[in-house]
Amino acid sequence: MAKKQVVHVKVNGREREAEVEPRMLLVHFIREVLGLTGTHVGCDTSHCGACTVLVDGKTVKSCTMFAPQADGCELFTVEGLIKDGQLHPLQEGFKEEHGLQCGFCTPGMLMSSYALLQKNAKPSEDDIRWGISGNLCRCTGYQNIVKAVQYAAQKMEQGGTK
Amino acid sequence: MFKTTPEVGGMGHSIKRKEDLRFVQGKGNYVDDVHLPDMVYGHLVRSPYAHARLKSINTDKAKQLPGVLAVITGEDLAKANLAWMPTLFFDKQMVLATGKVLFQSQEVAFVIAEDRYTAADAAELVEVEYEELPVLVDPHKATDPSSPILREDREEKSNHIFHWEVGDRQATDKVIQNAAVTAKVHAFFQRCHPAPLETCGCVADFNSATGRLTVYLTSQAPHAHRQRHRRARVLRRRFHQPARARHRRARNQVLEERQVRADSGFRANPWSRYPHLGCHLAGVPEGVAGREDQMTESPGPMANRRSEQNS
Repeated sequence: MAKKQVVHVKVNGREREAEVEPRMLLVHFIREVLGLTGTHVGCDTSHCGACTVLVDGKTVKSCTMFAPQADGCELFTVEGLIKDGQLHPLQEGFKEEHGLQCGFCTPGMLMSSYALLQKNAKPSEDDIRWGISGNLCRCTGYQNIVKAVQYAAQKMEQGGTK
Repeated sequence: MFKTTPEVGGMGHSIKRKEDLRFVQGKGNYVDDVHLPDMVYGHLVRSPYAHARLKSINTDKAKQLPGVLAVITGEDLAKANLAWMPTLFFDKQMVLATGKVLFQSQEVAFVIAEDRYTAADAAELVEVEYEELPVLVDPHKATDPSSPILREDREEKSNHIFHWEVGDRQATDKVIQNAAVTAKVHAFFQRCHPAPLETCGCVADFNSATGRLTVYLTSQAPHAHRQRHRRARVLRRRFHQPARARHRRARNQVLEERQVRADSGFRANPWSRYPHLGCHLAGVPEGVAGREDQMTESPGPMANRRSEQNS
């Protein structure tokens, strides 16, 4: 077994550090070492996007990255969306527009949509569909997810939320 | 038309889902999110062949890997009379293969280790020697005399395993006989794979002090699983003598069902057998199937199922 490596990250604003095997996937680091189980594993092939998180502001499928590669980075996961007990407009949008059924893809969808809205505050339907094209949903379908993101975009514009 | 007010709600009004709040916050608590103290992990060794005789299984190297707690084979289970279990269709199936494998990806050995990576490593170290046998891939040829017979365990040497018929055959025949026009249709269905995003999984927790087995699983049919888990009593007899002596209870199994809304209709399959077995051998294991496991093992409608209307 290879020598363990120290991985230091800032996750949702909190500094965390752990010693892990260099081959540990970032998603397992997040789920099992940091205990943030909102980030899910849905496939073995990086197709599904359920494990999408933000690494230094960029979306990453955390099953395609090793934990030591994230050393010194800032991670943002679904658990970080809620602020002062207030749902993020995206979370509210998914709830209001029935953008989920089983909820397994939802954290990844939320993170991809979040990154999209950071770059593009007024996305067209096409932009949204491209924005979540790396994420699979197997129950609700994409229609309501698109509506949910539109809901959030509108709300964020009105409220000036980030 | 009668319609209630929005305050009263009901028919004609949309309702908000109660469960969304936890899902949008990443607090869904799926089976893979269950982490128990001292939990260990399982990994299956599967057959690469669709029909083959098992000549030998060498688990020595796998067992020597640090962190490996147990490697179970069908032969181990056979000693405890647990190599076969009943299916939902009144048949029986192998838990871990003994003698022959009958389909590709059939479970041949189960590795239990302290973490999931070690379990996967050890599974690679299990050496299985197969003797390839002729395969049967076309269901239409299953009953041809020239086709290989898959099941050796049955008295009737045939690939015709069960017969399913519903309705009134005589009445139906009569209607068809008197019909002005009759048509015969052959309908072909492709292999259809129900694939929810959350793969099948299970965490089994046996408390040897209370004699209770708690099973967390993805399932649409907890009752079917419970039936399977009746076998727990058999298991305890073999591996947990003291617990059994003190706590011989009829209902000592608890099933906790987790998110199963996106079931897609295939999770009745009693997947939980492996963690459950491991539980009795090594502590508190978990087994969550990866996507590959899911695509290869889980049952879907058969390829080329043919329906025929008699004319």
